[in-house]
Amino acid sequence: MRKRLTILIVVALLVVFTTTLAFAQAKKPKRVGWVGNYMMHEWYQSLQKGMKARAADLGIELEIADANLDMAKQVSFAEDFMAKGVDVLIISPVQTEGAEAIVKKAKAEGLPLIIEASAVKGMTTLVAICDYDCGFKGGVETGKYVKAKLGGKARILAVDLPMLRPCILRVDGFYDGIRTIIPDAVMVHRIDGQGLKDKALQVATDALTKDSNVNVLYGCNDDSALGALQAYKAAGLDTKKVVVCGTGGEGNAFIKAMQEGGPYQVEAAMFPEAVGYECINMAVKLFNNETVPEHWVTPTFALTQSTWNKYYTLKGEVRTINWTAVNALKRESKCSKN
Amino acid sequence: MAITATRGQTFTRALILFNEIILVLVLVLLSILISIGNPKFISLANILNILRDSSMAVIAGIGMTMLLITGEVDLSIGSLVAFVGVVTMDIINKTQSTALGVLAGLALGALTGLANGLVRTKLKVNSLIGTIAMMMILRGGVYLYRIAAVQNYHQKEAFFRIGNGYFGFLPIPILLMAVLYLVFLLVINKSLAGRYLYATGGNPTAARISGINVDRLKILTFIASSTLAAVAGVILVSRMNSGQPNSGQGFELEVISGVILGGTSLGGGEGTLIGTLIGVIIMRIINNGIIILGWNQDLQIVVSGFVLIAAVYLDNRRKNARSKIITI
Repeated sequence: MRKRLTILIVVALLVVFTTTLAFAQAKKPKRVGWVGNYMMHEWYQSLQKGMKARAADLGIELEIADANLDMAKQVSFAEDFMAKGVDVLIISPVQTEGAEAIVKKAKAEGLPLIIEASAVKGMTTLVAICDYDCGFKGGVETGKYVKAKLGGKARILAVDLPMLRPCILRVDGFYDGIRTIIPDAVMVHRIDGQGLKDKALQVATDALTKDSNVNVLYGCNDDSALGALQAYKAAGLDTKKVVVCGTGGEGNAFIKAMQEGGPYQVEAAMFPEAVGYECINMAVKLFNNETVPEHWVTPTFALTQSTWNKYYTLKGEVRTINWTAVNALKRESKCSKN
Repeated sequence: MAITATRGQTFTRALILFNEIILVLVLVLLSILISIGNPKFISLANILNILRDSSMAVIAGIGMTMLLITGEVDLSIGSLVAFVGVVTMDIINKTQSTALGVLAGLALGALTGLANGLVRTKLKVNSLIGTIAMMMILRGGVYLYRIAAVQNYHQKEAFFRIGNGYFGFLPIPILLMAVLYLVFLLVINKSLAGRYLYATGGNPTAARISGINVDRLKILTFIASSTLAAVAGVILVSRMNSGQPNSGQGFELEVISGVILGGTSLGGGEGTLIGTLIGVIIMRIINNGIIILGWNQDLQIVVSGFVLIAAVYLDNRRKNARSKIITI
């Protein structure tokens, strides 16, 4: 076991070293512009940290603008960056259809463009996780826990956000994943929590009144999972008889929940810092006219209460990602489902 | 020649005279229909669930009713609920005192109400616009204060009990709702202040002439309303066990819908707390019933929209009819 771990660490270090060396030797863009869609969200706060860290490593000047869910503003900021003469542009689209105009304009001006999060027609490359596969990994790990500790029968309450396709994919993936371990797992409730903890609490409370016989709580994001857990507790149900799986790992909430040692056992982590990090790596590749895949998949992994601290440390309220461990994660070459 | 009332006029008169009775009948009918679809609706657990979940909107609705009676409105309460939650949790974490955290949250509510009141009375900004502006200030402000959710690092039992505890079999949020409701029911129905509220909303000019300090009354009403919304925020943060900057979205619409459905007029001068209580509970029953019956959850938004239109339509009919009731 120790030998295997040592080999893994050595391989990871080699990967990091050679990548860094490769990047050190490549030409680097001087200025990269990023137009985000909703910087107030914890996901983008963490993503920003990863992006800034990598840009600082490589000596790249990073300029950031926030469209704040306004497509017209996003187009305007993108045009500003083009006028300013950034070397590479990164866009996290407010709407994929609306971002097509930016893609067209960037192509016309010969400006390398990276799309983050959701594919846009005509794009060169997308840097994003695979939502379905992320949910799937969470489902598999949760299934293992249920089999080992909760009697092997899974009855699921899933808090979804049907307005967003990525969230639908996560829940679908989770359900398919858990059924690889427990084939007769039942989706008792699949409810819309709007991605918000207070809404998730409300709808999960109603769902549990309808049928409280569940032992798996899944959320398409961490707030959804935690809202469902609060509803479960408020209903007076036994938290020793349930397992919670969240998705995203965008903030510290999941770490805190795992540190408490309670039912929050699995996190289908999406490592937002790594997404930001890879956006800058991809910017360097595009700037050097390298051939890039249409979708550059960033790592996801099912963290547990015993493994989360291999990938993150938390001191007070400041969390730090372990780049070595995260960069060593195997990633999909393409998504199982889109 | 005898003047006879048309069927429509009789209906409107019934609405004016028996508004709360009609609402109770609607509530009972809805409950029966949903129970037929799923008997679990009428279980004690679900009834307590509905009441506990309604408690925040009812508490905030008390304040909104008083404001609407005076002819004003407050659209900032959703954002305020989020800010209060974040501040309350943050202060408890830092001071390890539930009392201080709660006081800080309530103080924020009172200050917000004061600001809204001054903007209305001294700057003469319409309360619809003024409180929309406050909504934006608070929503942006909470993210400036804390971009991420404030987790519970104190684990205080007293804090937990506010939103999740019981007094006997009664959830504490329901008890808080009942106490505040009774206090303000007395204030509105039995005190001079209550009569001044109706007078101000009914005819501000006449109220001023008769010696009522309308500006001071409105400021105090704004303060009361925002403080009550802050109470709702404290309950919510306890229930969620974290201060979420993105919470409370749509809360103001939920409260206003319930208050108007309950018979409070958008034009001022009319409204009752009994109507507000029933109106909020009807809205909550609809949302709860949709999930209990296993219907498409998107119906919650659709049905709420229809209910709001119906409520405003009935309010308009009541207003028109009051000015020209025809008696047989």
